[in-house]
Amino acid sequence: MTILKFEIKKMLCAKTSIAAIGFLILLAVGLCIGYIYGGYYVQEDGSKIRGIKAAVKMQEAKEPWEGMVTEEVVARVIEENNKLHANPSYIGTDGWLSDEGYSRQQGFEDLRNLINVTYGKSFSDYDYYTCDRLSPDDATGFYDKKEAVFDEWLEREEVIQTFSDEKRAYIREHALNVETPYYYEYYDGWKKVKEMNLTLVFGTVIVICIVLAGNFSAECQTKADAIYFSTCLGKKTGNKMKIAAGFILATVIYWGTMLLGSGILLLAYSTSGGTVPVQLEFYKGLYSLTQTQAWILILLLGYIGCMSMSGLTMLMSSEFKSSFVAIILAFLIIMVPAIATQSVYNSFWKDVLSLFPHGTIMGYDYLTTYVLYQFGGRVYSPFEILMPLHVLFTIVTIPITYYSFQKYKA
Amino acid sequence: MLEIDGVSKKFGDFYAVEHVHLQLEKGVYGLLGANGAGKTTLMRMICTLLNPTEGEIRYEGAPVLKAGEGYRKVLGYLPQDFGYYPQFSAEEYLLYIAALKGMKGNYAKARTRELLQLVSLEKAGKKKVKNFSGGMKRRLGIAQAVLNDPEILVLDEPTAGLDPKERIRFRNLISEMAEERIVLLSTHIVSDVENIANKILIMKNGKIQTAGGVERLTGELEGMVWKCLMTHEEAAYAEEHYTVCNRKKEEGGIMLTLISKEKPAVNAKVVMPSLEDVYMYYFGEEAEEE
Repeated sequence: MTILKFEIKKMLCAKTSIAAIGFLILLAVGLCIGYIYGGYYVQEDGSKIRGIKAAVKMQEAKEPWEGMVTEEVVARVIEENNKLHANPSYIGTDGWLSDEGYSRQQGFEDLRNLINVTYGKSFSDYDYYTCDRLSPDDATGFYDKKEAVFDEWLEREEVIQTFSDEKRAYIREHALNVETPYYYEYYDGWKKVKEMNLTLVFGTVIVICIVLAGNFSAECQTKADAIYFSTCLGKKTGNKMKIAAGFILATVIYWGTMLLGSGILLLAYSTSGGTVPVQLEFYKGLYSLTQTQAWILILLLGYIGCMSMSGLTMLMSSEFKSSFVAIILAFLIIMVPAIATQSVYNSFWKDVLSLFPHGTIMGYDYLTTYVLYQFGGRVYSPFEILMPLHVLFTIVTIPITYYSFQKYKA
Repeated sequence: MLEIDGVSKKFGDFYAVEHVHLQLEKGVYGLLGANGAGKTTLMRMICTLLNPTEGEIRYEGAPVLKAGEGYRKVLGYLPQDFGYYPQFSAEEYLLYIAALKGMKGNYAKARTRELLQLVSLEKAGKKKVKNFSGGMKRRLGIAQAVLNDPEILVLDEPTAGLDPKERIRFRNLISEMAEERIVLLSTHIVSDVENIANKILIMKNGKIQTAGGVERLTGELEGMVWKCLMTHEEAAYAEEHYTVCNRKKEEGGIMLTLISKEKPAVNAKVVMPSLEDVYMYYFGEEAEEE
């Protein structure tokens, strides 16, 4: 335990680590501030307010709509919407809803969006004004519309070319396998937390790589290696403790940052809405999860990716004996496939590139897109593939790192 | 007993250490040689940091590479470049090394305190090592080497970079610790070993050239060390043709101490050789280059 404690201290107290962790705290707090002040509430007079007060007001505005989104509720939303749009005092000179009008609409904006997506002309159509053209009677068969929209989309030529029969069957099964009617309540906190995680997990993984890059190489760079290896436990227990210290530190930094970021946002926006299904937010999504479950899943995937990058960084630190090389390589391993994925259009190569560690950071994207893997006749979600793959990869890096440093001659 | 049995270390085609045979028992051994003589390579092999290309090192009959942890448990090593962790205080550093040496909690703490006192760093125990002077770092280095009360203490150039006062202090410290263990001390500073080593090993080009006590080594040069007063021209000639150990300007010319098997000048007088003369005899050319 003493060795472990000192190994953690060695990494944690290095100047680069202090600077990197400082940057990460600033990033987390900065993102939170950005998200808190990025959202706004439109007051009755049309003026906007931002910050925590706006979040509180918004929650109050959405509270009346809390409950199951039945066809009656959908009809009520359409009715309220129509009333607003029929009232000349809420229509601006340009013919559109004024800010004063919007202040009365924002309470049911989430449900209005759900209606817009449901009543779109086709699968990929989104028209913000769709709801304005509906009457309360259209609410009948609200939840049946999704099936028809999906069936039409899945038979399109471009969809058939992009997705195999198995993948299309998987999409249909999972997208339509939703418990209806949806439960709704104010869930802005969870929405923002999920969005923020993409940037925050990315920043955290980079910082962890910087902190861990010196775990092994610092022994050589400070010329402390000769004493380290001449000690009784240096070559075996010392190496094991170094690896353990790396993973412990990565775990603490990862969860510390995630809880700090998520904690601040949820405190500002409230934890309300944890049980709202994500398919209310991502209508076409494949995952039948609540907001809280989706948040945990994104964080778990990110954590596994973080462990995988930690293992890889320590391996490079041990193999190349240079913190700088380890940091650069870690950065390239994250960035190159991430950038390449954006510029590759071949779905096979896209799928292959998504298996790299950056794929584990993209949890939020997987909720909204159709990234699927097929092996044999079975289709898997990225969560099902990336989680075991990177756990396995992490395990594989451990003995390589251990023996690579053990065989090193100071 | 530590046996170095026909040990060689080759880097490519170059022999850094070549067929070294040594048997070390309790006592202080001074490994004397110019830079690049192979001292550090030999010491690193003794400390299991390098594997010999040929030969074997045994301690109490067991090959040290096979003994692994068991051997390193009785080993203390201070390398030439003493690397430390800048973020650690002296006390933390010693506690960390103690843990790596397998020493447990309270004993490690007590031993750390004891050694900080022994190397006169007790007041600086909480100070970060990065703020230490060169002398303080070397003292901390020796403290870490003896933390586990080793049976074999290997000190590579322990006095490099120290001022004369620190060097004397360091020598006395090693002398104090030398009882009941094998101390192998490498240096190219003759006075470091002259007073404390029981046996001096002269190493050159990877080989042990000669070994023995100060008297035996100086005895080899008996009748070969001369002192003579010369003119500037004669001195210049002598410097080209003999190994000159000392040159001092005096009234009437230059007083040279030189090594020669034959009388170098009519007025030359034989003097008692010193260990420094022995060093010059073996490393005259390298010493000039240095």
